[in-house]
Amino acid sequence: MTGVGHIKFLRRIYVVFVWLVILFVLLPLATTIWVAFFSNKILSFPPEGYTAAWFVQAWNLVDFRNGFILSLEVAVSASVLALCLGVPAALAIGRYQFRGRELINTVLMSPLMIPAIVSGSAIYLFYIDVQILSDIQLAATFYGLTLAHTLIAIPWVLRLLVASLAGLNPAIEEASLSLGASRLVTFFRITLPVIRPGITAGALFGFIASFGDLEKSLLLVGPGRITLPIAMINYLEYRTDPTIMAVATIQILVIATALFISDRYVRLGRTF
Amino acid sequence: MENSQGSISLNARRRVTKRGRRAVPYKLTAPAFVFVTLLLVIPLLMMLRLSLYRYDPVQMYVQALTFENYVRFFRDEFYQQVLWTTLWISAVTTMLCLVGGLAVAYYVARTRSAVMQRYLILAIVLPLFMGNVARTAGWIIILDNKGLLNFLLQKFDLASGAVRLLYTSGAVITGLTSVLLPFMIVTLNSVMHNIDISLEEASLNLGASGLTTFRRIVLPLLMPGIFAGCVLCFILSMNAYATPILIGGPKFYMMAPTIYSQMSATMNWPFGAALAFILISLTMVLTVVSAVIFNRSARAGVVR
Amino acid sequence: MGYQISRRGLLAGTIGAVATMAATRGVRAEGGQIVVADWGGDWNDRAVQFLEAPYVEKAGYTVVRDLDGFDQRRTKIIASRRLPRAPMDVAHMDDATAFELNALDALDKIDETAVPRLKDVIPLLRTPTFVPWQYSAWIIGYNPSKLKDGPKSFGDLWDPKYKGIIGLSNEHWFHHMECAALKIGKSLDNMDAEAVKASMMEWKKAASPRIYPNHLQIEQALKNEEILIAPEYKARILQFASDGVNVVSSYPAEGGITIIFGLVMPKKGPNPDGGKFYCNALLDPDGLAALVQKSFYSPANTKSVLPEAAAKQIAFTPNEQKALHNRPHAFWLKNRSDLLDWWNKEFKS
Repeated sequence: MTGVGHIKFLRRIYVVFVWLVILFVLLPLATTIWVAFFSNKILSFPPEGYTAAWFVQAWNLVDFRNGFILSLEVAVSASVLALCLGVPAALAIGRYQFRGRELINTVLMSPLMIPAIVSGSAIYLFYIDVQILSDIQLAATFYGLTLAHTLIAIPWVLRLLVASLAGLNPAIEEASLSLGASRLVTFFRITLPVIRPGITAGALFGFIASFGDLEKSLLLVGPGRITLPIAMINYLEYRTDPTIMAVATIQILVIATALFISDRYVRLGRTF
Repeated sequence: MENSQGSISLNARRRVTKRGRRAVPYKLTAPAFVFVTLLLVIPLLMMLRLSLYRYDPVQMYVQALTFENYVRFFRDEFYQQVLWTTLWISAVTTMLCLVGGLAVAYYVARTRSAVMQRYLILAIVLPLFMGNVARTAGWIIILDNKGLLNFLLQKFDLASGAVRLLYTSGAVITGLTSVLLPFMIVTLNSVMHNIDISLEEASLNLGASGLTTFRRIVLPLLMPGIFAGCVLCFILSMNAYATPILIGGPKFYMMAPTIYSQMSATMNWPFGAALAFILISLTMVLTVVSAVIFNRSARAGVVR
Repeated sequence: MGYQISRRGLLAGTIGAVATMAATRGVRAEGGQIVVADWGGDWNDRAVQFLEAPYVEKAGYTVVRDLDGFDQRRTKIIASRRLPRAPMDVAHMDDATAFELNALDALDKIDETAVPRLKDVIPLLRTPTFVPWQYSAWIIGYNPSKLKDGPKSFGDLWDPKYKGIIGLSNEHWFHHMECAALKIGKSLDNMDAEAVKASMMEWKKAASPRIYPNHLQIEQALKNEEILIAPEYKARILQFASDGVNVVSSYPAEGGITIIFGLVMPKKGPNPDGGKFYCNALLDPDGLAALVQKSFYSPANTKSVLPEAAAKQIAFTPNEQKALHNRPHAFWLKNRSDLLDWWNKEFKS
């Protein structure tokens, strides 16, 4: 029947479209990796030749090394802290009906709404005022930076965990409770395994949000400390040679490896 | 987002708290709530206060109580244009993300091969880890006059000279869409997991085409995810900084870069703060309004 | 021509250097930490390689660096005025911002007792709170192969025969207005905002200059021959040339506009003695001479000797030096906001 051929054609177009979109998302990544090997001194096509020299350059630049390490440390700390704060909150919001739930939810999600530049500047000025009043320095410290990054991570933990909770059937928990298990046992043996993907996804996205952040961190880094995005944009002010692409490529490799390894343990494909 | 989820599902998945354990949710949310209030709400209120100060070229600002910064915005067509540009770019980007995101999310969630599904999702999430600066730099290489696209266009004789692709609104939309698509895909994908495939199989068995099944079974169930994804993409686009700056060029104005420019190039913090609050308010109002519309239409049984 | 020193001068200089090192060796017993804020990238790398490592760190100090964008540095100094202690000892700054910070009373005064080498510094570049370090001038760069008859003054840029081939850096919007002021009035002392705006609009109509975000895109555009003329800092033009771009410098008849990079010390820094030592060390004539050959800026220390070829390329002749204009900082402080608005709204559209 003509209908079948028609449908097959449409389906083929659909699949092609899907792959085009996926390519569209990955194109900048692929180009970055490719260009990192160009020998052109100024970024341009076509490639004059290929070289790995930019990688050596990238590795030698202390800024990038230190930036990478600091960004990692802050991102991990921020996502852990965000989990500690966000998981209980998500449990409450996702499963209880209580007065003020909407308000609390809005407040906790608000860091996503605010442009990072604005919150970064606001937090910086706040830190200064805190320091004047109490002599506790937060600006230009690791803790100040981590706290600000935790702020970005919390909405992600909340959002992903609450979404995952929606798929949790309370009947199972109630069955467990009625069979005599305590709340704590029920939580650890019934609830936790089900929401673990949500927690992992939240932690990962919190990590992403923190690691990639530029604008919030601009004013909060200090002497001897620099984050990777800031190091990159500083470099971009002087040079557009492929070194920056080499840095990005190294970043991709490290992250891809980390993702791949985590996937072995947590079945990441399922958490998103 | 989450609220719409609760409002739609028929069997209330949320416990109504019994007496005596009423304090539990408050205790659970308290740490996070206090944290965010201290670290974000209070500084923002201080910034709001700053927006009411008077700008002084030398002193940066002078304590005062004046609305002149806001008045300046409403009187000045230029800044209104900046806000308008930000709005329509965000709207277009969100729409594009939705179309692309729906297609990909449905494909990935329903693909037969588990291996493919796993690695596709990882591949889509991977760019997020690079951060906006690095991803946008990739687009610069592609769109530049001496970049990949121009090189290909000229190589295949599709263009006689360099075509200016960078520094156009099209370029900004392209860059933003590419950056924000993974967010939409991930949001939709997580909701897709909760949709029982047997529903679609039943529909196909009953003779409906793939397209009809998608349109009448999957799509309505996806609605919460669609809404959440659109809100997310819209907000991220309204607040975008790195992409408009790097790809938009010096003549392209969106709100976040303009705010930063006011604060840093001219040290006009009061005006910058006012612009910031106008942006935040607009984004919030639009989000709340669309949530209301969404909930209302959902409750009216559009979800069929 | 510019930097010849007699043998006596060399002897005096050596004794002075040894004396300084001996004096600072005494300070080494205190040593300690110096917090320095600087731009990142090459700028900082060269400072570390040629000056900080051999003259500051070797003397026993630990230099802790805060490398960030210039806007953040300025904001931090301004915002931290009310703190009991400033977050840094020394900040690398340009002259315009140093002026602004001084107007806000955020900086310590620095004189020869604190930084002995200041007496060797070109007087035009000094202020009581600013230690000049490297300087260059805003001049004109153009492609000599494509333009046999290149522009010789800022006024020439208004010539319609250059229509569409001039590139302007958006980041330096203020310099373009200063060029207009020099075209009109030959001096930057009494800049008249209205006259400048009118002249800029004439420029737009006559030569339609193209606008690029910053010097990196200007470099690309020159390389691609999208533009053939770009007013830029001499140091940048030299850097473009070393990158293989076909461009030469042309010192404008009206005189170049200075850009001076130097050091300031915010008040209440953690280690003021260390800060002063740092400032003095950074003016080391030999280290500075070696550095500028990489950075293409001119040394502020007159005692810095450049080899002849480098001197010819980098240095300004005495006549050129005499013709230099300092920027009208007070004018910009007052009018910056309005003129930036005008630039964005009227000129760029």
